[in-house]
Amino acid sequence: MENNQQQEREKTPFGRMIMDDYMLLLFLGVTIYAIFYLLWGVMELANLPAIPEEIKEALIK
Amino acid sequence: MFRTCDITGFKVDLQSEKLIRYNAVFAVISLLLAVIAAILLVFTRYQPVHLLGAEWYYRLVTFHGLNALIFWIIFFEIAGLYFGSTVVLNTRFCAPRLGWIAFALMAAGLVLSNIIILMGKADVMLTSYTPLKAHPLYYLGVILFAVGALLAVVLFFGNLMIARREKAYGDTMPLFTYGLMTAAIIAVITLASGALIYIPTFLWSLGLINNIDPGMYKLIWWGLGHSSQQINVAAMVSIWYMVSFLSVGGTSINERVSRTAFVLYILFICLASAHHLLTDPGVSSAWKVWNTSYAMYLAVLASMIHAFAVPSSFESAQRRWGYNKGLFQWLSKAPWGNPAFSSIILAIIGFGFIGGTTGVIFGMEQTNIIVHNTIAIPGHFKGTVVIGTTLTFMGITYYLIPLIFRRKIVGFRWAKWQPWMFFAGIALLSVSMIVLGQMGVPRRHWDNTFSGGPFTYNFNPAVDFFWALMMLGGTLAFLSTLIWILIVVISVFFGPKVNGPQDMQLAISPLAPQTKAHKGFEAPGTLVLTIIFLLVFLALFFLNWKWLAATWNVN
Amino acid sequence: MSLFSPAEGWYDKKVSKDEKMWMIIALLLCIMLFVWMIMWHVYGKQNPSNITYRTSTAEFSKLSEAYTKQNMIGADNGIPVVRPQHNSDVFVMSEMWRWSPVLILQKDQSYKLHISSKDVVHGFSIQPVNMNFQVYPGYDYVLEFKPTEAGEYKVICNEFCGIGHHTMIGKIVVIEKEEDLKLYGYENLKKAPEPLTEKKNKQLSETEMALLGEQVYTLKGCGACHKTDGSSQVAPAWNGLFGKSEKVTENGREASIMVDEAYIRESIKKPQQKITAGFENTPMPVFPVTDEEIEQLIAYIKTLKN
Repeated sequence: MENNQQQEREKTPFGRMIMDDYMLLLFLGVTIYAIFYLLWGVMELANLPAIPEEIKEALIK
Repeated sequence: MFRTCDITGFKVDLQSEKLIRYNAVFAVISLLLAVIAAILLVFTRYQPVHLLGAEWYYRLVTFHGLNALIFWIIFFEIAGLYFGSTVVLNTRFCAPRLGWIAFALMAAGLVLSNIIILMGKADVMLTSYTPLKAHPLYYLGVILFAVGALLAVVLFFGNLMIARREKAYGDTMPLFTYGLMTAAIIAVITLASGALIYIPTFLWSLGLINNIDPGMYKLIWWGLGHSSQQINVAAMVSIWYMVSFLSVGGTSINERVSRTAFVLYILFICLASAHHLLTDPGVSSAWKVWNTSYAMYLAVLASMIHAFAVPSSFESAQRRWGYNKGLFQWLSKAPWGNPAFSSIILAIIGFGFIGGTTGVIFGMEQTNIIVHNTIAIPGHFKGTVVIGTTLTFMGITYYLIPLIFRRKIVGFRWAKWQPWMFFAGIALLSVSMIVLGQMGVPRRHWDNTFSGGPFTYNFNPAVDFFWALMMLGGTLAFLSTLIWILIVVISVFFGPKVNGPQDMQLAISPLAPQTKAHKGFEAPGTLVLTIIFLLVFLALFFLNWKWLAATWNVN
Repeated sequence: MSLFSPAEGWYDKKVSKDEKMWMIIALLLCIMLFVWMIMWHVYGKQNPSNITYRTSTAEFSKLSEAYTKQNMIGADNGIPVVRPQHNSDVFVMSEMWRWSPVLILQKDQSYKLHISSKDVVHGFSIQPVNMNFQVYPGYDYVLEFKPTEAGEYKVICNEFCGIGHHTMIGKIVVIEKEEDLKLYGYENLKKAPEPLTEKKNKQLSETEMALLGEQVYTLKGCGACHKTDGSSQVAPAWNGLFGKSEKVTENGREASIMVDEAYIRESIKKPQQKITAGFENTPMPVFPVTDEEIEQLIAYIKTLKN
């Protein structure tokens, strides 16, 4: 019986295994969002340059 | 404690049923609050009436947004998640006591933030962009609600685990539950972003943190604001599949395709929070293009797959029932007398043609310039959240009343045309708002005459016509929502009890016969409809880019 | 069968021909949309800018004030008017509730607009051409505009910024040739000489003080709320204000006061001390003005009669 089940497991296609594994999907969903949207976005906002000195100097001598 | 449903044969956990009922009732209360505010807002923006003063206008915009987009939707979705993870799987609720704690937190959040808004301590809009500051209790209310909702989502996964351990389903859960699982994962992303931004903002409102950077706030807030509406998309599509099953015995013509589409949602749909930052300073074009396109439009691909898979599940079943003549007999012979069915079909049409097309076009980096923050944006999401999600939820409620509340629907004749009236109202409202937005009319704006300003501006005179249409549509939608609420409340509290299948007013169809009755394409009618949709999309697409190309140059 | 687990073999079921066709069409459309956005950056003429500088509200206020002072050629309804050189950096400040300055631009010339906010988030919406951008405090968003059509444009605010949101409206004028200035009554605007700075240490006459006060009113943005035409939507109008008696609330108690020099001084320095009845919902913030400037403002207010 157990053997049989194991065989079936091995036969399960990879795509189907991912589809049925909702914890893995949860992990992937959170990770993709966190990396591409959040982290990337926060990094860009955190690393903005200051207004160039020559523009400032032209106005305030 | 279980009862066995004498209509569907499902084993129903009584604790779970009670939780579903309470969450559904609170959803309806939130919707009522939202539409009362909505009608006042419509008659304020309709300048000939200009009902409310500026203060109450902005107060009720905040109130309407929170109740409609957050409370109504999420309460209903929690009810749905509980239903899909217990009743559908014939299994028990993992921790009913925690379920009640979640409910209490959400209800407390609803009451607290609504009171603070009405007291005039939180005139900050739903988005509450810093440095606009609300009373700390407002943020606390939202946090309580979000924590409660997050707990409920965790319980949903708990139920799934029990079901799997107790072998309530094999390796693969039913498609309806699968779609809800998608919604639940998106909800985790949503609520985690919410915690990430609301907790510091709460501390800031208490004076414990000096400054919340407005750019960071907006970036993270939309991880909540936009993703929360993606929960709706997933939940709504699941219900579409379910209603196909209940009303005509249909099922996805290819489960693998439908499930792949849900997986694409899980992986990519939340990136679209970037739609709200396309004309903002700070983030680069590379970030904008990648995120706004859900990583090369993979989530749009998913929606387009559903756009075929859902109607084709109806068509294929109907053809197997023998309605096989021509391209559209399956549609003309459909159970139009079933209000759940008509709601869902109308929701699909509205969501696709109004919400979907504008969503993709407005969400492109450059075309966003001509619509950002105009009234076209709420116009777009009236097409998605209101025609799509709300009408779907209204429709499925016609099944929930007999099956979960065990009551007959009072005023069934009214229920039959309520979805049509609602569709007509919101379609009118939504389309006229989109047109107004294309003419530059801003959203969340009290006075189109700019009284008190140093200058004034007169919009294209055509706006008057569309304002009138919008007012008309809003009124229709308001009345039909009231009718729906009355039907629901009277049925649930005073309706005659359902004692068995003979009391069902909405038919539950048996499974359609398995054997294919026709040759060639599985769903030719659906293919024609989707091609028409594609042509409409392309027409709107090129129109918008033409308008963009006619503006000033900017880079 | 969406309420039951799918029948065995669901994973290997062949996709029907029509569904496959639709999926291929959809995939092609998705790729087309993605490539389209990128190509518009190469061939299109409307792309949101990639240049943003980190700044602070204090720094940007200083810069935009200096910019306006240097380039101002007059005022329109209490808002400074600037006619920038093409290809130059132009500083546009948004605040509750005004856009400053009014710009005179030349058709088919480029201008680098630096846009930021002094207080909350605003929405920069040019009408009727209908172009919309977001403005944050602390971020200097640089947008290079090239107007392609002459005419009068308004800048409305389309992001909620408080109770006076609807009064926030600015102006951009695009001219093709010099005569076009007449259309807007701008033909006599010229850069004012700066005669008053030389007299810095000398006693100024009341008229000179009032003139300087008007400049402060325009530059510092008092006119965003305080009008001089008698309209009092968000704040008391200034004409006829001096010498008038007003109902105010002080520490929760109502009182009647007379608008005199001491009261104006106090109202500017501690705006929350005495709040005029009817304006409880639009509290005035503290503005960075010097004592000298306050005296000039008082002189200006005195000249404003009903």
